[in-house]
Amino acid sequence: MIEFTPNSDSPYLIDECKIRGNADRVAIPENEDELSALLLECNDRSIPVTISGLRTGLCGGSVPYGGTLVSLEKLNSVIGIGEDDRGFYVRTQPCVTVDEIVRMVRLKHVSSISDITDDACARFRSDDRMFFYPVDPTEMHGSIGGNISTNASGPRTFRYGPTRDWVRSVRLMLPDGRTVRITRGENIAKGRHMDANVDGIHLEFDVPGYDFNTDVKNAAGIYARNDVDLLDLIIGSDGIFGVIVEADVYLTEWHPLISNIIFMPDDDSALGLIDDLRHDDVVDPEFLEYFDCGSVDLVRRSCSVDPTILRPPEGRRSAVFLDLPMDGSVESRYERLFELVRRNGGDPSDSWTGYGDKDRERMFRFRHSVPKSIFNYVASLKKDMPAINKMGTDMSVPEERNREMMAEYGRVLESYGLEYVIFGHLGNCHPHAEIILKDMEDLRKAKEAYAVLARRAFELGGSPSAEHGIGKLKRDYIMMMYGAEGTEGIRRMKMAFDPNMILNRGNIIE
Amino acid sequence: MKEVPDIDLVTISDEGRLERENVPSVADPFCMMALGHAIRMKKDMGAHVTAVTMGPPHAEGMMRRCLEYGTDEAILLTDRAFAGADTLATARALGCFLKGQNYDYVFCGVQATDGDTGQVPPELSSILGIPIYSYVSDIDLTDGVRMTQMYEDECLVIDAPPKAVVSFIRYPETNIPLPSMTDFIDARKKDVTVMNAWMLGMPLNMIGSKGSRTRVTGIATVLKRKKEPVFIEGNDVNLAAKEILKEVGI
Repeated sequence: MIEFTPNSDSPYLIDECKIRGNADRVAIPENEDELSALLLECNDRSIPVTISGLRTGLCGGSVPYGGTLVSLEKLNSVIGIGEDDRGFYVRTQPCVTVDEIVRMVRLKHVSSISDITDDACARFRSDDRMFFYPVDPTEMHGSIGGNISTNASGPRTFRYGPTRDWVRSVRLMLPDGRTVRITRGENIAKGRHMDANVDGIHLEFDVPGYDFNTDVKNAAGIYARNDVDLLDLIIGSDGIFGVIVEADVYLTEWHPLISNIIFMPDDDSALGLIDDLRHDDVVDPEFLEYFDCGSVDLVRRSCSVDPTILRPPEGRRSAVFLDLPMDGSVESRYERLFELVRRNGGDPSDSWTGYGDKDRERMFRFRHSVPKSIFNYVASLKKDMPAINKMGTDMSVPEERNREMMAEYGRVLESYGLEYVIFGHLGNCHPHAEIILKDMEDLRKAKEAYAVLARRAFELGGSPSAEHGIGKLKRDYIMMMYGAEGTEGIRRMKMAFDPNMILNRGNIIE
Repeated sequence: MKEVPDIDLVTISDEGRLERENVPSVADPFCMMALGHAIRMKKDMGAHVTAVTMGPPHAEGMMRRCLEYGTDEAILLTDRAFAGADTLATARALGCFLKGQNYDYVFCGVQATDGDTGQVPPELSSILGIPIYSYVSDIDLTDGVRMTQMYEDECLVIDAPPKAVVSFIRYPETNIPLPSMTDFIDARKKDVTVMNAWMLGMPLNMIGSKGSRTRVTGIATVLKRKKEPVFIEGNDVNLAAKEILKEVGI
């Protein structure tokens, strides 16, 4: 095991939200045995432990505030392939990236991995169908453990749901170093009471009393509801109950897709097109993303730095990004799509389309260049303003309140005099409003504006954290959503797993 | 155009073997540069663009994509008799097709990412009896056709009159505008023209493995061997050079 005292500028003390923490020690276990011994030691001595994967989180979940930072980066192997009634699944260690899973599955390169069930690798390899892991969390180099801990989602959630829907089981290491395998369907609460014996360990606790909002895309806190599956309580829990040391994620059958980016004359016409497309049975898009005019301008500016990014057409434009199944009905889908584009004031020839890997990669690079350019911008500000961090919203609302919420972003952010762009998952009524900060005064104003918007999203029946999790950054919203009683319920549940409260302190609850 | 395995997905096994199984084929990135410049020439000058490849039947998908990008025609030269062609046999087939065409420029990638020989463009130039402009990075169409050739230590800007082979490097990284949705639908009304060896009128001993002068017998990693430097005392460079040649057995 590698152990060292981190310098104040150590990369282990920061994640992609750019908040910097501190730790007395960084420990990098080589294997589960070392991790188990380390946790036991910390548990016995009540040393706080923060678990870190590949630090791509956006809410400070892996940022330590004292104690020991445990990086799981060496637990990075794909273990094997299994098969059950639902289909094939991949078993991995926590720090395998989503990209690694996608590539391995795509190429069926299974020669160096194990059968989890009898002959699963051979059957998977010889199956005529192609498969894929359908959760695209945008950041494909994040760890699967981190994705499960935050119930990550992304553009494909529109069709396939969030990470939760694809997790078969996790093996969880408790703070005392013992592990339990928690498999979907095997441990169900009776109402709000969980009484389970898992791998010889008795887990008994009350599920927090609030009802987790499932009407919208939501990653805010523990998935509390009646008769909940134990696995669902672990998914999206920001690592406060245990350390995921193995995970099984299901695969689904792959089919060819054609990607399209359609440029529209203004923000309103793009929003109108998305409203028309969301439930259109003929076009039936696989995902639906939005870029306001400011976002497209941002991409255009990025092109001058990185010529590999597709240059948007000149002039002020918004854009809509959607994927269509490339099947026998593709022409009728386009016929209808052209009609809807024209109806909303656009021109179907003002677009890009691509279906080969290379072309689609270029289109996704265009999409990712919006958040990437903001990350780079914030990183450049940090040289002179170390305390500054990225401020982007992650709020979802019910579909019928979406236009109201879109208007709120503009009204609230402009009332604070803040510059911003809006892009993201409008198919799920979940855009990201990224605030372009200039100085610390902007950061102060942005924090106030963010709180106003989060409250508004909640009032409209939505979630202030749709996909990034809560971590440390959005902890206040747990209190706003679930009140003191709900927060206390989470704390009591954590005590059942982690009586010394050593694990990932500060995530979700104080 | 040439279809190649997607090099980004090719992995190397623990035994050092290239794992190409299930790796999809893509249009070679150097060829995509040539395609991009040809499409730009069409848009800026009204050029008529024909894409041509010699390859297996599944290369038809790549040629359809060329039509979507905006080529006026797409030609697939495919025949079992073309199988096993080395660069010379490939250039002969392409040259045979081109000899029957009216063209100003033949645009190619400078090499392909799977073979990296870089031999087909100069062989085409020889077969067609026209000059070649190699390592071209850009074309300026403001006053005739002016090409920029990038060499290791110099950049040459040259007027390139018609009837020439032009081979393109990847500079800057490919950034061809993607086809629009209407381009995609319009291209579905066009067909890829498929031609075999008989239609080209090529004798079988000139194409495929029979017409090849080279054969890949194996692929191995060449290990760098570090040798101690040899120092030769004296002021006469010619004498020193002779001694070195004697040392290495020449």
